[in-house]
Amino acid sequence: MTRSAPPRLATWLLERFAAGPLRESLIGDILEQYASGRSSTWYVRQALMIVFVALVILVHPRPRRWFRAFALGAVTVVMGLVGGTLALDLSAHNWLVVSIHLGAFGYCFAGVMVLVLTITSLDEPVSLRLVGSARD
Amino acid sequence: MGRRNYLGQLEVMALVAMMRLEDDAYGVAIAKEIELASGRDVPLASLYLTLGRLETNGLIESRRGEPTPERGGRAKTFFKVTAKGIREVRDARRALTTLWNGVPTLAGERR
Repeated sequence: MTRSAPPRLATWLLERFAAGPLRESLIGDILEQYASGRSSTWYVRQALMIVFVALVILVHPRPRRWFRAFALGAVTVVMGLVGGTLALDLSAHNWLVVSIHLGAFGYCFAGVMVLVLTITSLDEPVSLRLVGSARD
Repeated sequence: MGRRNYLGQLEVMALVAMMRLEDDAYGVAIAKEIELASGRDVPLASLYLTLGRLETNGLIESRRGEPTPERGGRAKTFFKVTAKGIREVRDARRALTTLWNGVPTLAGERR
């Protein structure tokens, strides 16, 4: 019996966050375990663990820079949420409230984008620095 | 006395598992050995991080195997404990045994 494909988002996370000389072996091991009957939950947990480890390793040498980036993203999200709450309190269904709602969602979207961009596109790839020198 | 880092619990377990597995010591097999012995799930990210550290410290060495279809065409990496690694495990076992010898029987445990 052929196993269904693993969860796509988790696979994307694996491909994105695992790096280094042992990257291929690590991803291969996870795929092998999944093919041999491990659950999708297990697969997702492995992917999230890799993301967690990669972020810890990445943030560790330069905590200030990362703190600033994450704080900016978090503040933007909070502003969006506050804006949305205020708009709901006004509760009048006119164009002004609708535009405030849209603005709030825009803020939230921008906040999430800042967080995503922080992780995915700075000057170096997010990498699980798996040191090693497997010989071919 | 010179400064020397102690091996962590996962490091010791990984080294012993590799010694048991001999030529078949790769990520999945090592994780299974540790899970069987400890009864706990080992996240592969943690295991590979440990393996990377052990290799950097010269306690293990690795070689690349052949890619296989069930692994999405990705090769296995096989690990082997070096002479230095064996010495470190032996020292760790000696230290632990010495410490345990001085411990009275734990509650619910038989000698």
